[in-house]
Amino acid sequence: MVVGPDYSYPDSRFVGDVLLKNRKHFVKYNIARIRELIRYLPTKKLDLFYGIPLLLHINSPEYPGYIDDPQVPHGIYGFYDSGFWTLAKRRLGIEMQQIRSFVSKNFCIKGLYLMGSAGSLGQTARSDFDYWVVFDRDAIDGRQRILLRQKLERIERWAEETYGQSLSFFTLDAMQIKHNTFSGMVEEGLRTGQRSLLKEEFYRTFILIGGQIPYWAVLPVGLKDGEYEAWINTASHAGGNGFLPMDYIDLGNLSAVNPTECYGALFWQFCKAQDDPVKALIKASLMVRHVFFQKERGLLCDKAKERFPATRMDSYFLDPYALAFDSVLALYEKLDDRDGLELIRQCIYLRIIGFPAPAKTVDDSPKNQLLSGYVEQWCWGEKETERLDLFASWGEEEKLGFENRIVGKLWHLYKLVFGSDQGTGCQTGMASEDLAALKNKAASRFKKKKGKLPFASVYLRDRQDGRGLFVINASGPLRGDVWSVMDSSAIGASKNAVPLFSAPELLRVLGWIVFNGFYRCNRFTIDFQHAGSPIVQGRANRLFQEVVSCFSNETDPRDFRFAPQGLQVFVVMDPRRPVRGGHSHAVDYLVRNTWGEMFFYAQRFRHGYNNLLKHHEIAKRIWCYIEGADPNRSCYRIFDLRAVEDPETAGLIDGFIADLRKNRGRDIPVRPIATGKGRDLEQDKGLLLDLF
Amino acid sequence: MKQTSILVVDDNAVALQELKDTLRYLGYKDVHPAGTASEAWAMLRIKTFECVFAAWDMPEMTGLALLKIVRNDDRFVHLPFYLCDSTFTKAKVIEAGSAGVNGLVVTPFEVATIKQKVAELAEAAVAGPPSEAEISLEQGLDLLEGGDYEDALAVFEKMLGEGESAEVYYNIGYIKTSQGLYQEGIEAFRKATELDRLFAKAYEAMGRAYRELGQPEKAEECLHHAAQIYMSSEKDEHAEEILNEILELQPDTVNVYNSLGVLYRKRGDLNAALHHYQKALRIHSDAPHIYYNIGRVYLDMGNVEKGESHFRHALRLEPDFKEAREALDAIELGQV
Repeated sequence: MVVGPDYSYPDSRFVGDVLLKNRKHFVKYNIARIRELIRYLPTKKLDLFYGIPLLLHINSPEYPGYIDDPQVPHGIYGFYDSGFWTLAKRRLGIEMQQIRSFVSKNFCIKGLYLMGSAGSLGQTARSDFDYWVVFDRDAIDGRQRILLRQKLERIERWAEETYGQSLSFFTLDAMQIKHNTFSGMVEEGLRTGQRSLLKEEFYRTFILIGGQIPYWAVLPVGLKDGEYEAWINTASHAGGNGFLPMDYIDLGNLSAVNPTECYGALFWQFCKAQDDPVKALIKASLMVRHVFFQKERGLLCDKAKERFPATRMDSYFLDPYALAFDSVLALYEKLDDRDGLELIRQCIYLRIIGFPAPAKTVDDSPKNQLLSGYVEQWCWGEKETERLDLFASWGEEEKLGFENRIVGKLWHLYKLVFGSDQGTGCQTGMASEDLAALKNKAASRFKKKKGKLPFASVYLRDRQDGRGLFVINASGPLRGDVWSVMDSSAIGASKNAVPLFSAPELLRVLGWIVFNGFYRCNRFTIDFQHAGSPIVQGRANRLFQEVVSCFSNETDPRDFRFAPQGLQVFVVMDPRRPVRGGHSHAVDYLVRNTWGEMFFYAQRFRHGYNNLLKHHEIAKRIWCYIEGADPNRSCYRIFDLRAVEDPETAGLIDGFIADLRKNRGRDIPVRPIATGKGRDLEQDKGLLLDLF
Repeated sequence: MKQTSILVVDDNAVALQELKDTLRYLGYKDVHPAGTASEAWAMLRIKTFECVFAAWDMPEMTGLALLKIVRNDDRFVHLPFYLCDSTFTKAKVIEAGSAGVNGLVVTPFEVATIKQKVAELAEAAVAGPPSEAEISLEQGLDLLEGGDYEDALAVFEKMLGEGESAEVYYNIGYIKTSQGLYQEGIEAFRKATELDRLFAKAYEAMGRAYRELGQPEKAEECLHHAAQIYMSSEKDEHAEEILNEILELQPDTVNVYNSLGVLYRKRGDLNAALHHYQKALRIHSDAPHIYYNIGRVYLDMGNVEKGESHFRHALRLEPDFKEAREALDAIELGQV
């Protein structure tokens, strides 16, 4: 590698000495991080964590992840010198003779790193494990990469099935990381958009599990690219004094985060907010910090590295999340955003105690130490902390209000960046198709549209305690006919218990349950409380099963690249709902589009309306919803709630729709109701989003 | 028949029935059981209860969490609330105290304990208005400040007739010790700490009274307790003063050296921390937690080998020492 003329080659002995000294600091840091990881992992998952490196090192039919192909790459550099091997032998009682026949003699995996919240204050019992599996592209051909991917996928599935642990292996070659191209990471928006940003996060949060130490971790802080290359070049020829160049891997320098990547990343966090608004706001605030204060305050990963020598066991001092928290707190101070500061404090507190399902932190653990420090520094009384400690007991409305407040702040940050000098005419650095998908995803989650069913709170969507949800009917002269979804714990406790969701139409309520996925994986039991209901329990149950079955398909993430199209339509004939005026009856529609948005619409017919004409109207309405969709994917289903079903109904509507399909585009009135088909967001100028 | 309405909460149906039966045996017929904390919270909102007994450990929501919810609601700030558990560690007592518990019931309980707890309720119900008590306290403190000990004592003793208070007992103890009546002072301080288990000043004063009586072990115990409360509430400087005071009193006190070690390590003074831990070790060479603490300091200093050997030693002394086992695993796995 040619080094720029300004950089002289450091002396090789000096380089070796510095690297060995820094290695000691890094090892101490790595130990402290693993100690925290062990602290926060439940015992069962700890077994999994201990076993993962072994599964990547071997390919044996006796162990998970086996691929019956001699070419499958496996083997981690230096594994037999590692503690994971010693521990595996001890825990599994492996004798050398047993394993010798199938161990790898080639070390295809140069390094195995755990990145993200693992081993940090952000780790909870339910945190995912994100492993980076780094290989050498010259040592593994295309077919072998596929085999490796298959092996890793088997381990991912096994971990999920056996331990309920979400594992992700990202296979990356060292050169790819060096040049900040993360095309192996499949999540949309990450492929092309986040390059230096992802590397910053990697360097700031990674734990070395096995293999080679990234040079970055042992090189001096703040090297310019040319200096970095000069050091590496010298180090690769250095030797003696216990320094072995082959113990290290060059994953590239990081002298700055490219601000343009932050625009896309901010966008990405906007989408992620629907699943974890607390995490999204903290991460988005970090992006803003990168945009505005990177030059002034430096890279966070460098700050983390500066502190390696000062690592303390059982302390939050070097925690990457604590560092990030301090940075975002400083950001809001600097911006003099008092409301933002209060909100980010709440988010940080909740993130540490485990949003959305807070758990008690262990006494004198680093989490508790940091929380105590923050509470004192922020002058919070018991009222503030208790309110957040009891987040799980907040009402649904309150939780949704909190989430909306966070989304509002994200929007504020977004406008701040895009309205600033730094953001003027900014490019996101993302491929146009990824950008379009992200924009559409954000629109699908936050854009208000007529008839659109709302998301439940993150807490409720995330809850996995197997408790029941009750669908009850309450009718009265003042309230009318109202269907409500109640938490089982609220049933019978109080007549004034607040429902989680209410609507006059049963189909809308069932749509809300299906849309929020409450029926999946037996997360909730759904029961109908039938007393006083105009629909008998058996019929309501059947309706629910039909609705679930109609909308059981998962959405395809690729659909976000295009405008939405109606995909599935569920029609309920005569939903037994008194219609205002009393001289008509209704037909209800539940529609899901390719973006996964669900809509409820009702159509009203006067009594005496010609039956044939009515069926034609219904067919036209269904056709309007699914007209633009791929006929192989779209479907509609008709459910008749009448005591005596009309056997001709479905046939008549099918016939009309077949005619409409034949005469596609003709005789179709102007689309009466939007199914979320928005304007083409890519045509927007200025702000990339326009949601509010 | 007593009309007091009592809510009992326990996920263990047998324990729930037992407590309910006991209360009924004591004459309380209006006893309502709840199998979960959520159910209890729902019941509290629709019916008036005079007292709650809740199990500490319950799945989904603990009794402590329920207590916090209850205290967060203005309507239930003064609702007598008792937590029941088989063991109450110091941490649990501190936590329950901070959350506003009225009392702790160790299970399996004696009928007499429950009787006493519910009787306290009745007493509390007839206690005078707090404003009067506050006025009296103010008056007593003014007299105390002016050096008028006898009159101040009369005010405080009169106050006790109207209801017990940790602060009043503390002030009585203060007066008694000032008058050289150390044993009486100690009794008053003890009552203060029984009412408020986190009353560091009372422990501190009790320790000094014992010192005056020439009972250094008891003095050390009380002072050390005070120092620990100060340390847990981040009042490190105050804690350090007390710890050094204990060292003057009892130079061979292992706990004090250990506490000072913790304090110095927290400040980043690793050499001072190690020095104090090693002193503690010289006195008690078989204390696993001191080995663990020394192991941590060595690791902080970058001496992984020495750290490891101390963690191993801690584990040899106490094979179930979870933290030491985890630290050793981390060293084994984290080294490259």
